[in-house]
Amino acid sequence: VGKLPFEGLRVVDLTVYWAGPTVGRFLGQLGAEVIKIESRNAPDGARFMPPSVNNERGVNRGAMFYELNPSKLDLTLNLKKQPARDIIQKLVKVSDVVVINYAPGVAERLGLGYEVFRAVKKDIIMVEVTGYGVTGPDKSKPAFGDVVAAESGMPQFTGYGVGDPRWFGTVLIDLIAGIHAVTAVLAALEHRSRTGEGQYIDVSMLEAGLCFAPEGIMEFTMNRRTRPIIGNRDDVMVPHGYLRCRGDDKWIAIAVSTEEEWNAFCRVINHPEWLQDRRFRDAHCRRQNQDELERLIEEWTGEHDPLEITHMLQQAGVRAAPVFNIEEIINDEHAKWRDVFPKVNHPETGEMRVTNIPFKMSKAVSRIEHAPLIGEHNQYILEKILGLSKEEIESLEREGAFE
Amino acid sequence: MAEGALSGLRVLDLSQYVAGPYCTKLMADLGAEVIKIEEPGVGDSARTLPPFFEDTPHPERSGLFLYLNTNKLGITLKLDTEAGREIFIKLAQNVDIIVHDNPDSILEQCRLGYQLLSSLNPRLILTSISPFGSSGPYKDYKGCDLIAAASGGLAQVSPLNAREGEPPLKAGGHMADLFTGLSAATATLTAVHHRHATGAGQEIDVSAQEAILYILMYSIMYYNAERHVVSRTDLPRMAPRHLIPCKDGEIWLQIIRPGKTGEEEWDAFCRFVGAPELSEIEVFRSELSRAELWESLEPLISKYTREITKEEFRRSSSELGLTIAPLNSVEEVVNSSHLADRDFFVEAEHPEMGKVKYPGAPYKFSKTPWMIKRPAPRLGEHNGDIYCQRLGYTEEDLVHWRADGII
Repeated sequence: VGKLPFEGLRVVDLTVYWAGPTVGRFLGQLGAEVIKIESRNAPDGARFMPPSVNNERGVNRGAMFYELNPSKLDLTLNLKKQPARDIIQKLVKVSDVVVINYAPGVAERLGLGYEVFRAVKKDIIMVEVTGYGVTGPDKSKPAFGDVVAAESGMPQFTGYGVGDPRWFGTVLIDLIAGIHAVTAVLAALEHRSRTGEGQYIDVSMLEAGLCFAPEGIMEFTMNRRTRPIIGNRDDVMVPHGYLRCRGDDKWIAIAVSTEEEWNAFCRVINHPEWLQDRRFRDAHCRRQNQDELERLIEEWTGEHDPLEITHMLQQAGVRAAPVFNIEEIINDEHAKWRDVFPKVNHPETGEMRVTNIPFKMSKAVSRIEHAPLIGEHNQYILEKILGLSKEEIESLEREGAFE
Repeated sequence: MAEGALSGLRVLDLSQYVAGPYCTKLMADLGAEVIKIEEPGVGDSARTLPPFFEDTPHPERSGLFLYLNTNKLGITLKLDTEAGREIFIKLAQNVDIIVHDNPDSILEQCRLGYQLLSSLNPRLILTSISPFGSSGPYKDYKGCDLIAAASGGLAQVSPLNAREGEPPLKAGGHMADLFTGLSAATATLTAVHHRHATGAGQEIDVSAQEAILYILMYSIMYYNAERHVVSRTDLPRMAPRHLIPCKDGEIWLQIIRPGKTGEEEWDAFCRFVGAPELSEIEVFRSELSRAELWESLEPLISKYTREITKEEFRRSSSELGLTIAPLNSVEEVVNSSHLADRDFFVEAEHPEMGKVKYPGAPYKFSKTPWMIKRPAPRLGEHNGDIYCQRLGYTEEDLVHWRADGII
């Protein structure tokens, strides 16, 4: 029995950019055979988005593509040509899951619908990730992550203070949708193993995003009000925030929850007198005097290294962590221990790091292989998976099926 | 009625707050039977978190708790008592999955570690969620949303386009916790799938830090490509890619579309806002120089955008091929005709509050429904159902346990 949980599972990956590829990224890292379909005429745009390795553009040099497509196989097909579409059908016939996130209308135009696939593989599971879902008045709008995020209203809850909303610093909504789509595929697989039935799943980035904003939505539906922006502060814990440390752009996260923790905190930072100080003696007082409290704490943190005082605080039972940048994490002893960023060798650009799956399993492992070169596995897929002969492949090649 | 995709799966949920409960909510909403165990008299700490219905703090009125615990059965149980431990063992023998989030595990303290539980139930999947995972130098360190965003590298890069000197910023709400719970759900269902092949359960160790690193993306990309360490104060590589004010709120403005040079879009934007003279200025014609000069360009643009409403932007953006989106208010989102057409928001009836709208399904399945069959449980609401009907204890037992603080 294999130690890769999805060994034997085959996925046809008709995805580009962020949200869609996330599904195959997860399944591939855990052992599924994920076959990414691209066209040489129009490869996945992620191959050309900045940054490219050493700033040299090239179809196999896009770092975004590396992170989103590790451990996948790559097959080039020109889906505008019928013979190429026939190959997709053959692949679907021997696969378990199809993932797709083409722009609205494209899949239909190329004849890549659920009904078409179901005709060749009765129990196929198909998941489609779009900006707004495949029904409804906005179904034809293209899915730009940032635009969908703005429309979801999510950013209005993030900011330093009231009236100053700020943009969160990464492509969150694409990943929210993509990982929810993973959950959906896994649930559908469970349903299939129980009933033998496949199905189609419609994932909307907008809706997945809204599932991550429950406080704001429930505040409105319960109390007809918009939740104020509270910055790095918390409704219960105080102090709670990112405080300045010694060095350039060095910060520590500190969150104090109970009176016991407050006691420990005051001892560690050498201010036992704060326990009697009427400004800080309970959570209510600390909240009233939060600006002053943070200023005073920064007098202490400002003289220390964030990691050093993280250890001191955590050993005393107080929540703390450095505000890490990527390099600090890669070099951190804990992340090394957990193998968070394993190295892989990319045939064109050499050693690269790929983010590991975010958990460990006691009886299973994950794997990381380099993201495929374009068309890297054409021969393997056509010969070994589909059993096509050399002559058949040559004839398809002449027809332009692999462009 | 059709059944959910996970119907038949039984889950025991010892977790509280946000991450663990979101993991089990995802499963419960797809039909798994989730029994939530809470501490007698106290309950899940999320019951103390706002927003509260009618602004009245009350353990049955937290909107966040209600959202995170739909479809679950709720019982109370004090694990660190001999009777509590015995009852728990009975429950654990008949479930597929246990989810917990206690770093210095209450399970271990009560001699209920994976060793013992799996000897009683070899198919058991035990999912443990912790701030840094259960191995490595930081395994005992405590955490929360703020901590995960920091240790996972997200705070350092947020917000986008921060000014020099501005501190790191946490995303509003409980984004990091929710990502952690989402990862825990994918991990748990992976083990469910693996169990079909092996016949055995296993232990899953989910790290909140790693859940955030998994979605960080740009930081590792730029590190790989250029050894560049991404920071929130980095100049954007293109501009505008910013929130800017309009007449009745803010809009997200992004001129460049993938694969396009952006010159045409910039011209179209300048014409649309009524400032054709801006597009004549040579230094503003490239996305890079707009980014470099953003501090001086922004006031020139926002002078015009402040005169235009969100609705005007909404209507024109698609015609002009511009990537402009209004930052919708919650009211606009809740009243969206598109979301109404898709039945996204769902109403659930709760004894404390009557009918309230909740965010609905993150996905729509063609064969297996996602649905809210029952609202979040009141503290100990299903004690009778589970202890008497399921496990065969008597009403009398319950009376004793209540008196002894066991349930």
